[in-house]
Amino acid sequence: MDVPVTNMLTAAEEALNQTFLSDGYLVVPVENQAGLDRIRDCVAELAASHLKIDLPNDRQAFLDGLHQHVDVPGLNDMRLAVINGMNQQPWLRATYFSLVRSVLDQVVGNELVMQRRINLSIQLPEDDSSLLPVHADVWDGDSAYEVVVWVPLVDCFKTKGMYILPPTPNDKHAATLSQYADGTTEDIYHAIEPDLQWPDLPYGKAMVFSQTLMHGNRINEEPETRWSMNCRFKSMFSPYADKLPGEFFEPVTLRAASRFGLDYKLPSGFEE
Amino acid sequence: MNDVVKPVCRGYITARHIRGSHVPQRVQNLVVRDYTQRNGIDFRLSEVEYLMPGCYIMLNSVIAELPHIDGIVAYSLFMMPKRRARRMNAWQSFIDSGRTLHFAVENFALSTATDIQTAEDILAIDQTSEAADLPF
Repeated sequence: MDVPVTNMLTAAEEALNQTFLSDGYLVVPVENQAGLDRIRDCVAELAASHLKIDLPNDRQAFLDGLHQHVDVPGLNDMRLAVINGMNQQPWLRATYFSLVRSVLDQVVGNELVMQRRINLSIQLPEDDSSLLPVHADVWDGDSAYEVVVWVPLVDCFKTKGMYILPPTPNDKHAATLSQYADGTTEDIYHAIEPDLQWPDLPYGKAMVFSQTLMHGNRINEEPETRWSMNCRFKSMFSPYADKLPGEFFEPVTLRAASRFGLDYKLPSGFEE
Repeated sequence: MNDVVKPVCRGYITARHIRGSHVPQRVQNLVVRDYTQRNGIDFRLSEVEYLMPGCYIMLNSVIAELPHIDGIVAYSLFMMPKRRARRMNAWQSFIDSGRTLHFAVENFALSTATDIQTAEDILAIDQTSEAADLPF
């Protein structure tokens, strides 16, 4: 007797999902290079404007060399100014989504909610003031059903990038996490360090990863400044945690059938 | 004009509920940031305590950072460890290092033994009120 077909993913979708399951992340070329360039140029203009300096033609070199223009005490004010400025652009979120839309469709779903604000992370060389210690976003109140779309605005590699713990070692270390109850995140980092991966992400690529996995960054020991954006997506009708629709997420691809469902009211007025 | 050197403090917020209420992290950060601005503190990005009940690994981590900063601005006194011995260890770290632990919601700073007593009194009163569970 023939076995009924229940998995109806295409071969390409199945391959992508299997890679995501085994590695915990996908590094993919962005699907809208012009859109990424527009975001990068906008960010560079906002930074130059905040710093009151002329913006050079080579935007990427300017971003790489930001540490020549700002010091650590001034960094956070500049970062907030750029984040606010970029999030005020009406085209930003749609453009960001377009960078990885087909990948999200394949590994998350086609009815999505998107984080309302796109985050920006800047790490000057040797700066220890704005590090992200080891964590999984689920530990910070995010739903286990979310993914993070991490997009560099410069070439990111080694300590200029980020690290992630793949699923198999993640499960092993998570099972013994409570042994660090009196310890620090540094103790956890040293325990997981041999199992970490540091994906290379040249400008033009994006990383989609499951934030159930431990990840973070370290002091940027490269001689260039790191710039990266991140934004969370999840399937609209998958379970939420503390980050809720409205305050944190916004629906971006609601489909007609769900619209019918959300609007539907069962006829009433009958009496027993 | 003389440049006044501001104390540098790390923010500390939580992913867990506080006194039974969910406070979005963005709101916690706004309160912490407002406190630092009103008190002339140079703010460093907040660390978020993990969601797992009874876990204080992030608190331990920010305390380990004290030799390099002037203190911590926590969102609330009520996100501190429930177990008294663990809490006293945390208080003592600030006294021993001469640093300050600020609580933004309570607008209260802890840096002396007297401050510890005040903090403990507030927590004890709250616990008593909770236990009483009055019907009005």
